[in-house]
Amino acid sequence: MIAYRIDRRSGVATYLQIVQQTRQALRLGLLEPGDKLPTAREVVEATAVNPNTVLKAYRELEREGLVEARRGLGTFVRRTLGPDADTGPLQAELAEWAARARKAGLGREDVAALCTAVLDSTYPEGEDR
Amino acid sequence: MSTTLNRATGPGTSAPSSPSFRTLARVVLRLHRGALLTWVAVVVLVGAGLVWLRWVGASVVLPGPLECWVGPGCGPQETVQESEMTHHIFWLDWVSVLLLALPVAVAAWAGAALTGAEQERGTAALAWTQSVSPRRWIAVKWAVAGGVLTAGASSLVLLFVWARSVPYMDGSPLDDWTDWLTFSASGPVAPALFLLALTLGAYAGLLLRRSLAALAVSAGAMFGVVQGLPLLIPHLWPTERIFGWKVTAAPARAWVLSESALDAQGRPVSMSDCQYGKESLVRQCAEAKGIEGVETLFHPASHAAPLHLAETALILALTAALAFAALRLLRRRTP
Amino acid sequence: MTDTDTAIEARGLGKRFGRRNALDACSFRLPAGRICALVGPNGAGKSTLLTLAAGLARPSGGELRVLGTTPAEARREIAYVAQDKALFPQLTVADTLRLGADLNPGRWDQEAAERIVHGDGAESALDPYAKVRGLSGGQRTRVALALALGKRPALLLLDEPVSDLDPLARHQLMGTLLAEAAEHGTTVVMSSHILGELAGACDFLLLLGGGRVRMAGPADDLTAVHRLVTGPGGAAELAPHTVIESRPHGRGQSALIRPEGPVGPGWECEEPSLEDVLLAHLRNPSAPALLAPEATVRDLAGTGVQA
Repeated sequence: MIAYRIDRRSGVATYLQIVQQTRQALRLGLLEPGDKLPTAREVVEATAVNPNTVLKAYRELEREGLVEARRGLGTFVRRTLGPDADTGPLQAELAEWAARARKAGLGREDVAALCTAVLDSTYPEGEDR
Repeated sequence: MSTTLNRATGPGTSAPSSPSFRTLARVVLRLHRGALLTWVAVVVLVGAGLVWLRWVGASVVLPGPLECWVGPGCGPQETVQESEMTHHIFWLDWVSVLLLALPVAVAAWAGAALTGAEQERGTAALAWTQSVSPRRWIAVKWAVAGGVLTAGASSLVLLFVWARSVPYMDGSPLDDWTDWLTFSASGPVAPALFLLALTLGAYAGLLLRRSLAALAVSAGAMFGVVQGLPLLIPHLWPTERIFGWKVTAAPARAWVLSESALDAQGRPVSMSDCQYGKESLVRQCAEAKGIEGVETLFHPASHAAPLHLAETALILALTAALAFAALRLLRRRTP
Repeated sequence: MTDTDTAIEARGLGKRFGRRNALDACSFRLPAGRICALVGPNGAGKSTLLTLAAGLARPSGGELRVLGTTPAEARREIAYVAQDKALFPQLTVADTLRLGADLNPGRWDQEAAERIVHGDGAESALDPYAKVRGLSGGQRTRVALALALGKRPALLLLDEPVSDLDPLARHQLMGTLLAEAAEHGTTVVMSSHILGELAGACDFLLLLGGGRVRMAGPADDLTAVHRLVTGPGGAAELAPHTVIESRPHGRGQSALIRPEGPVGPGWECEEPSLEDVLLAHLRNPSAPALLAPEATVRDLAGTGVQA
């Protein structure tokens, strides 16, 4: 059974943390289709988080098609989150770009800050696809 | 947006009702278990003592006429049963003292433990938010404590009267109904005092909201009542009056309140220098002073019951007034 | 208008102790089913408000309706735990739960009460025959909460329920409390100083200051209405907006504002956390009050009335 860890000081909304951690578990293969997610009550009891927040997260996951709620039984994983695009060429391009950035004199932290800025503008908050 | 995960039975669907009086009474008795056991122990012990005293007193047989026992003795047999009699009277007197002192302790307990502690500690709020209204909670506490105290006190009073009604007491000058201790312990006055003590203590606890303060105030007030009531007793019923020349005109066993020599206008005149000698000389001396006669105000023995009932009524009236004040206080403070 | 979806509604509520106004003209509405944080500095009137809602004292002025009726009539549906977690010291733990069962016939949930008293492990289980006077602070809080929750109330009023507990006990009890409340749709009003935990657990906020309502509404709405802005400009540039608090920040300033319209260029804007908003209001008691539409009192026609 997946255990959520809520970091109240991270600046990320609590329900998003639950969504992200569920996706992470799916990605790492810790959750597979047919697995049951903890009931909202169990999550609340373990994390002392507002029940609404948990419901919101589960609804979000349901909207993305990752889980489905079966009345009286619980919430179950519907599909995995494997990468469906081939990342090989993308990764090679990125490595080439990183080499260029290093030659231009950018340090590791500068590159990380640039990447974060680009990610923020490409994937605005809340969107993962 | 509601946060219900599983709206099972909503509140109130299983027909909840207020707890019954019997349940509340059980709760109160459980809460004050210590005090209840103490009271039961006191009643049992004193009751057993009274039974024993009755046995002791019943076995006292006086060998001679009663007049021999009061005043100069008549012969050597008087000392035979003196120790038994002394025991009987002595311990009976102490029981009557106890019966009139216990209410002070009860008042202290009621102030400190019945209401004061709950107010101070906040446990009154606990009861009130567990679905018992403040007035109902106090009413049940009072009724249960009052019932227990009255039952115990009444039993003791009955046993006391029974222990006193032994053969040798009949008509004896030792049977002095005007002694206020004996008077108060021989009828409904004693249980009424317990009720008054309970109500006084309960009110003090509610008013002051502190155990220690309530204990002190209610014990002090009750002590004042117990000491002050005897002064009031004679005035609770109209006295009988005799006007004449007999100085000790009141019948036997009467409670003489005053004997004063009055002149023609009804003003009291001192007769102190006329007291000695034969009656005719006394009369001459008095007439010379302008005295018309001696007025004796007294309660004959037949007034014992009315006086007793009047005192009981007075105590119960006080109790009712305090109970009313307590309820009004609650109504003003809590919704 | 029957109002089964309002837990507490106050109009001009006031309470005076001698010459001091503990509560002064408070008007707000708490919808049912919320987990509400009651926040404010010491002496703001939090305990007084809870006491009035629990039917333990009479208001000095104004009107207070709880669960659609007066606090006295709603007594059976309200549970209250005072700050000192008052319990009868001479009773045992089992006797205390039996007291709850006796005083609440027909609606007492013995299992739920026992679940809370005995925690979630053999270690934390309480000896049912232990006298209450011998329990530690955390254990007494558990028993007090068990009494409150076993009653299956529609409204739960808690005055600093977990303040004197260690962090682990606090976390566990909050979790249990929230889970139980969610399962039965209980409205919870919790006063606390521990803003961080409240921010995670509560979805409704009531901020009191000086006996008055300073902010009331759903937590999300309240943060959405505020912005944390940083920029090089001076105070004049922020004039059209309501400034709650502003501080110099390098050559410019950083401020928490309620924007009335778009913020000018050159200002960096972000949505503050609930804790930021609360702290800013606590530091600046003279900031204008804010009541979200859901938290305003409804007049007889059913439309909102701004307090």
